[in-house]
Amino acid sequence: MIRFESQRVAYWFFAVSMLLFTLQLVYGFIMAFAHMGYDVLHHIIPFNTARTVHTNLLLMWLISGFMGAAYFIIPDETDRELIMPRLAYVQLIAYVIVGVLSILGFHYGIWEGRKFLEIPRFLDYLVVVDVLIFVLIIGGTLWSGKITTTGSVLFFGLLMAALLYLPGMIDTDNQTVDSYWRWWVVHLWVEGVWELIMGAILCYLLLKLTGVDREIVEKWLYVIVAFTFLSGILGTGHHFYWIGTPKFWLLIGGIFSALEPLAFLGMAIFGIAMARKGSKEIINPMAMYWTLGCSILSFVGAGFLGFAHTLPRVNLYTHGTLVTAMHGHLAFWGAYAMLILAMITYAMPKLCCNPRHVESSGLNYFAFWASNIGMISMTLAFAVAGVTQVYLERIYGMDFLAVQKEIEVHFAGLILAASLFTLGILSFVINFIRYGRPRARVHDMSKDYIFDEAIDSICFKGEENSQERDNEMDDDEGVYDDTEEFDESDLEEIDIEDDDEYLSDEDDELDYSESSSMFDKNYGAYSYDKNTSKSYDEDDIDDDDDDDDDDCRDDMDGIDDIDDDEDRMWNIDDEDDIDDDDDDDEKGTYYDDDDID
Amino acid sequence: MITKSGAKNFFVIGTVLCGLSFIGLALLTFRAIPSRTNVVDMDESVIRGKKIWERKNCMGCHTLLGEGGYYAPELTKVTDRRSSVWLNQFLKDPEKMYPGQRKMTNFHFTQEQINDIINFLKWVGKIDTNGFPAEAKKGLGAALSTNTNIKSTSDALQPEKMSLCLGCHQLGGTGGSAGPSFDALQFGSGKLTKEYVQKWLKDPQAIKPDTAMPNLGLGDSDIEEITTFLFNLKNNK
Repeated sequence: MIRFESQRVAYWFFAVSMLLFTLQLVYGFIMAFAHMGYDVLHHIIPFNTARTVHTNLLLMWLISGFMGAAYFIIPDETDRELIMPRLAYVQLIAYVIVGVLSILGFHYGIWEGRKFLEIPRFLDYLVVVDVLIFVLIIGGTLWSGKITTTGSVLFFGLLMAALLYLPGMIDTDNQTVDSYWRWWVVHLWVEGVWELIMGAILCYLLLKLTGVDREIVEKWLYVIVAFTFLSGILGTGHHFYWIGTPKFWLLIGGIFSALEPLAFLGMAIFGIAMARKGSKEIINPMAMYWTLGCSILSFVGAGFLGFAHTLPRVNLYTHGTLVTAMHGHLAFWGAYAMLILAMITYAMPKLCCNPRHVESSGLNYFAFWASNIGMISMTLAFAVAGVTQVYLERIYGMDFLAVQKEIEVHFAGLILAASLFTLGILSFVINFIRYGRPRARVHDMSKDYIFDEAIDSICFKGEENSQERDNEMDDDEGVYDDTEEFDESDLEEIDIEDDDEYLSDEDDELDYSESSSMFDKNYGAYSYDKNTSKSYDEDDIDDDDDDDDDDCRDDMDGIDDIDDDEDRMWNIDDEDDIDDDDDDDEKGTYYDDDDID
Repeated sequence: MITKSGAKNFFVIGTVLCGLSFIGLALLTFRAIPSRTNVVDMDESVIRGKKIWERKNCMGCHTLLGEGGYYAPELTKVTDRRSSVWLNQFLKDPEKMYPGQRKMTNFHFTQEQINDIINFLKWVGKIDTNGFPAEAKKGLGAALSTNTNIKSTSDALQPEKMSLCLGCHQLGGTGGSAGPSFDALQFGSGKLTKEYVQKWLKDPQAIKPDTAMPNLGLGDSDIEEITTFLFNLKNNK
């Protein structure tokens, strides 16, 4: 159950995230095998290509996840529809185009060769335009709606992230200056403003999941983001130790980056304390797992492991070795990857109004533990390899390649751990696919918000009593119900948008049969007869259209005035486009599913 | 206990103070960079070298100033470790220099491009990096040109030609560690006859297919020169 129509766009951003994440793992394996000496793809995908694709896919899927999260959270926080929701779809498509072009280009040597910012300059401009559109939609919505702390911290983080992309575009002939500006982007993102985004999303999730008083949660949000900036801004100094910048950075970077774990410790304590304080019954336990997992592992990965090699005396030896890879993997996983997965786990049942809760949590539970144990083991493998490298190469002066031969064995361990991790992530993706498409009816705004939650709990907990539930649902017209015979009175309640989607589902047999068989088995009540729905659609479309428009008038006051026909046209076209996109995605990952089985 | 507005003020004031300090330090940094990086030495060739460095995404595997892919060697002080002759030979065909080992793409550089890259790396090597990378305990990274321990009766051998060998072999306690040390090898005894060494230098793989010793494509006169040098080393019987 979502409260606003336009929140649905979040689903497509999450879907893009899932696809890019899966692809990222493939390139990770290519690199791990190359480290073991099996660089069989050297002539097609040399290591630098694999690495560039691996890191850029990470950034892309995380940013796509952040955008999806923002599109989901901001309407809920501001209490209104997104302004210009269509533009959000345009922005998504533009984002995907830029991403696909960049990734393809990397395979043909079209890149900038600057770590993490390899996207070529002409695409950089597109990135900027795309992000400006995104910031405009989010900012405009915030401006014309209710302003909450969570919403504004989230917006501030996103705005600053967009602005901080610009220093990376400053041209220079001096390698030191080049590196200097590059860290303005990379460091001030991941150890600065992204933490704001992270804090805000964690805050939103904890508010929703635990039911703790907003004043308390948001007070701690301020404290955490204050620590983030107090330590993180000057902590950029730990990237300026050895690149040709002045010596005072050793002192400043050392002191402030040593304080950086405090912000992450704050997040961990915050998460645990709010979870303990919360009196609300948790109806989506897996969302809680991922949220707490994120807040705790971000402290371990980003905070503790970062601290472990941030002091200049240590960093002199560990800088530029696999020790950095060790810290990087657990930090990104703990702080940002798990955050997106938490957000997706929270949002999907609402977006899809799919009562897979109890049943899905098994797969999601497996995904949680497999991916976490996998990632922690990977981190240990990197740690052993990295520390060995430091001693042999940096301290005893062995030749680089000779050392790499010595540590090959740790990459065998790494690959084993990565396989477990991949198994976990694939389970998560399969679970994501099985939720189906966004089809949730928008909650009637005239009713109290608490009621929405009540419907959730009915929707997700009362499947066994489908008859009973159906009756309840009919009363509050909240959940869309395609179980019964389609008689006229039921039809009027069905949201036209959903039907459009069904129309476009026609050629999506693979996905469809898959999910409907799931439903048949477990929730007979939720199975759906395509033919019935289609014929209904053709016959009764006019009546329904009117109904729908009435509904929409109430909810979507932010949408520009468009006459009904155009509105409808647009819905169909746009959704078709995106559906097509997604068909590929889902089929792609669906095969992965087979592999596992 | 802190109130929400107190927490907000803490956030705003802290951020503004840190942000301003950061910008102030940025100004100081930019004032110091020209002298620390020897901007005066940054000629056309160095700049072209940097462009090649970026266009080929060398950072995707190598590290420079400690930043990069961790898959290939750190190159900040590479010109101290490897002579221009060695780097030149290597960049013409990287795989040939490391047979059967981790591969580097052959970019088929022109001689001019190779010079640009080497000049760029030489310039990077002179940046004041506050002591990075750390000197290893055995002092293996010492500059080859300062080696005064070489005891040979042959004056014929050019130091830079020998530097090709010292990328992997040690002589007088300095050099690489990938191949056996010349200080330990007993030239002239056992199987290390002059004919054997000459045959080895001509084509190492013909004698030992899996050896890491590259076929350097040496001419007969070079081989003669090198063997004369090696067989006159003081530690030989």
